[in-house]
Amino acid sequence: MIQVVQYFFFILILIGVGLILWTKNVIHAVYSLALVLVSLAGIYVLLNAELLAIVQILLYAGGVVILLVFGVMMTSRMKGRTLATKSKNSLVALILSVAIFTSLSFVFSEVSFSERIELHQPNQVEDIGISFLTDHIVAFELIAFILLVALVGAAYLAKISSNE
Amino acid sequence: MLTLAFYLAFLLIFVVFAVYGERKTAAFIQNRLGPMEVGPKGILQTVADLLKMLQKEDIKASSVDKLPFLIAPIIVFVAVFTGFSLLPLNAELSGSTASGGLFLLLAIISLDVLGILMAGWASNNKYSLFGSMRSVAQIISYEIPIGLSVLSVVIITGTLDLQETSIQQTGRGLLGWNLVQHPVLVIPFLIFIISGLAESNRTPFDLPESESELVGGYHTEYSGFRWGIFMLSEYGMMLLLSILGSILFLGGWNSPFPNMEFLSLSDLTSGTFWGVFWLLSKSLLLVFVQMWVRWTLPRLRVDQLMSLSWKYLTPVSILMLFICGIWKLWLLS
Repeated sequence: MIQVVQYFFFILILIGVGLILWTKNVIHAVYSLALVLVSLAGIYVLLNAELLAIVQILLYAGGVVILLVFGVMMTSRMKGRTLATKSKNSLVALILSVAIFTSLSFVFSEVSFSERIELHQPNQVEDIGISFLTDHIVAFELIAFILLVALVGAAYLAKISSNE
Repeated sequence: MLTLAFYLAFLLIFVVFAVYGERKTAAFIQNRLGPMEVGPKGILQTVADLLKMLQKEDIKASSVDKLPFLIAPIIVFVAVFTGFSLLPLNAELSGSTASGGLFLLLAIISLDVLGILMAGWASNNKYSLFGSMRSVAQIISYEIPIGLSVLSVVIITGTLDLQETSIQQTGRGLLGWNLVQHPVLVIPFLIFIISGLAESNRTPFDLPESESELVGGYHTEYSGFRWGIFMLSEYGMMLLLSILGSILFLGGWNSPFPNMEFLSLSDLTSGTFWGVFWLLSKSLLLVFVQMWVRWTLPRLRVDQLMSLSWKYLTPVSILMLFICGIWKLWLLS
């Protein structure tokens, strides 16, 4: 049963990716991206990675996609231009993507992810929280610091543009 | 599954009578009678309206973006209704058992923005587009204070599981409720209600669909059944946030009466049926508060809306998060 659902999500992802590649309408491409991201979250749930699925929905489907839609709307319909995508340089793109794919699959097959953390099923959040604040405290604090810098930077940029 | 089936049936019935209740509330606040003709005291008015709405033509203007236009209402409703799958109903029926239930709920209901944007964009209409733009800006801004106020509760209860949160409030009646047990939660509760109004696009935050400026906002171009789905989602969102509020702050399915020495009122008023009864009556009370606010306060301006969220609610909720952390430390020591 889980296999069937998994294949269902795989098919959804393929459809979404195909639509992103072949549609001419930017906004349709963004919606297809949302489909891909939500289906990925579904696969995470089937693999028992609940928290990852939630974060996927919250950050990507709820955050990034909406930011993209907003950007497209601001640029095209408000100004009266329609945005259409074109496919150019398809040969270069093909070579590049094959190269990236082979190198990535090489890396993933060679590297051993030795440093694994066992997540206990009912309390994934607790386990992740504890490992963030013990084993990975430096990375955690650094990310928090970078986010703070980004926030301050964004506030600064917004202030300058409002003064002009 | 049983909870979800119950919530689906309850939601459909709720919407019909909530619309009636809303019109009656409005009428009494404005010192008039409201619907009186259909049925006793006009109680069947919305049923009649519903029948009329279902027979209307499903109009698709020729210049709309077809597929997104058709699926947008469904996305909005699915996003809101998925949230219901995580809510417990009483001590036995606990809903979906996702360990990060509360987190998932907040994540999923934020997806309805996507449907609203889709509707506004696909309608190919300036009013709809402006409505959906406002709606997205508003929902995204108010997600921060609502998330932080929920987080304040999570800090104190120490769990993301809504059933666990309800169980922690069992036994002492009214005195066991989070709001009474931990008085620091009063301000997060107020922030939760205010941002909840904004999240469900209700007055005083109904800018996305303000009739006087934008005709109907993002659902201007919709008619018949698809328009009905938008209404269903709006009322569904109200109910969802009210149930969430009553679980987090008002004891969920627990009875408000404490056990006193020989008079065990709490045991008398708990059980399968009573659990559902208490949860739903607390939630409907919160829904009534939302209606009451709607007919009492005028609509905010866009800039007032934004400054309320970013300059007042967000800093205050961050401060309350800090205070709740201290409160938790004090409780532990």
